[in-house]
Amino acid sequence: MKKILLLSLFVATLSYAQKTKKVAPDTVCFTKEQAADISFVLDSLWAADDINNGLIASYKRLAKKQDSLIELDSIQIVKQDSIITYQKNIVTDLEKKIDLLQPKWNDKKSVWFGFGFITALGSGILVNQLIK
Amino acid sequence: MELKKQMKTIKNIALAVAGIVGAVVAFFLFTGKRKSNKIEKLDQAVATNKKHVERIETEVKQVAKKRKAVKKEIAEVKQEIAELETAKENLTIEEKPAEEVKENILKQTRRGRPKKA
Repeated sequence: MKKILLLSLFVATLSYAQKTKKVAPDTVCFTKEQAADISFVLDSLWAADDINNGLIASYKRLAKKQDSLIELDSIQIVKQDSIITYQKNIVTDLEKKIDLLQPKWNDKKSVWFGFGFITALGSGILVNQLIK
Repeated sequence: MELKKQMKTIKNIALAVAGIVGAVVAFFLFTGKRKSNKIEKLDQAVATNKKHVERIETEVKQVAKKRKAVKKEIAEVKQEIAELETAKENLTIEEKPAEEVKENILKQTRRGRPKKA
């Protein structure tokens, strides 16, 4: 009886020891060097990820700024076009004014002198007729 | 009788001459007035167009100012990007001591995981 009790205790102890030392089936063991490499790679990946995220955000901001620059350029072009149109109108009006201000045949002094001479001559002839 | 007739003729000629002179003067006055009216209208149109041009030029200046500011911002962002690219190229990672490795792996692998509710 005593032997059976000791044997069962021995078996129970052995099975307990096996259970505690047993490695879980989904657990993988690494050497120290491998673990150090994994740690290093993880660190590198996360650092690269942070920088890449920063780059993505910066490129997005750059794209937005470029878009607004394009918009401003378009506005400027439209406004410059309208300035050109107005300036063309001004040039046309000034050309018309120049045409109007050009001296014509009746602005010549000789014409007015001739006209006055003829009038005076006619008046003189008339007066002469009256006297006669 | 004949003198009266002659006088009448002379009067008629005098009237005709006066009429012609008046017509000529009136014609030139009318033309001159028309011309000055046209010039006045053209001056008004030029003044209006100049006002428009001045207004638009002010707007263009404002747009140019904004454009300059945006360009400056773009240069800043480009500089930032260049710095990040350089940082990416010259990325240096410190190797962790052996005792910190396990903790580091656990910390870094949990970092990206969504937190459980």
